[in-house]
Amino acid sequence: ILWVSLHEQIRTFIQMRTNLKVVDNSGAKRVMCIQSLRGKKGARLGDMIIGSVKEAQPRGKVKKGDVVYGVVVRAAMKKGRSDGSEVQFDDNAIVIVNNKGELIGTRVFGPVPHELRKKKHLKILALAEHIV
Amino acid sequence: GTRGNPLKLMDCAAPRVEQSFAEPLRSCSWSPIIPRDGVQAYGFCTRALAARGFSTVGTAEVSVEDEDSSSPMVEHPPRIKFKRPDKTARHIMNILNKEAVDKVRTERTIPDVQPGCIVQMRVQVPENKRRESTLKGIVIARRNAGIATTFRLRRLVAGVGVESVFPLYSPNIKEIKILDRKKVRRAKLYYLRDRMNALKK
Repeated sequence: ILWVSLHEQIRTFIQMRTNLKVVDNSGAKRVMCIQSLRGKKGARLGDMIIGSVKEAQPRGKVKKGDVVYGVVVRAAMKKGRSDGSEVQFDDNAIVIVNNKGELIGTRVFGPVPHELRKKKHLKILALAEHIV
Repeated sequence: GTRGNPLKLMDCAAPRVEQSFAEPLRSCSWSPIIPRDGVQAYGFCTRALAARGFSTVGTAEVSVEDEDSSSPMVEHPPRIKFKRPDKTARHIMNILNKEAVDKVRTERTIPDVQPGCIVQMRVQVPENKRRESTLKGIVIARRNAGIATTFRLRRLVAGVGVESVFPLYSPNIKEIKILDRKKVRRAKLYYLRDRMNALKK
């Protein structure tokens, strides 16, 4: 979190040691990013990351300590759109996928942006509650 | 030059008070116009100076840049402040901005969105297969920058707070409807990020 002036709180990229919320039903609750697969400075909305599961539900498809891939579906950093608008969420959230990009869970909670359509994560868009 | 101007001003002053722009044209028509661009500009300048000093009629629209080469005695209906071309060049961006804003404002009415308004808008997003979506939220900030005026909308979507920045004059925004205006005492309401029930009076 950066502060440029007293009013603007600028959120930055998702990088190593960033804690992210997991918003599908794969079993994990919190994941810490250990590597961003795109970008030198870190991952943005719609990118894939590699993370380590820090907290998991007792009976789920992933356990604590697993190294998993994830797709960022909500980022606190604003993402610009081609029509001049920008969008930013209140928290950082990912959805757990395998290294090919296929979902491990079967449900996705919360809103997702339609940047995922361009990144070809259509399954996530199909399962989402709300597309922003 | 500048010596001649005060004289002409005074001559134009008498018939000038509270009259339309046609008057100074006729009253200054005696001033010798040597057909050279520099002096023509001063002729304009005189008229404009007189108009600026004494007019109580509202200002007219911006003069387009190509008018500086036309002949001085042609009647241009609403004409303004034509300064010397190098002076106009300094605020040409301002003029262009105003023109662009006026153009959009004549096409559709855009309400006055201020921070604290609860707003419902219909947006057409090309990425979303051109489906019109309805967004409802509270305006927490507004940034004035001519045609690039943007406002920040905060809404709760499926339990998660989402903030979006929209250009006010964007053609993608089909309609903005103001539902409610809350009384706020600042221009940027970023404190709402922490306290969501701060405005429920």
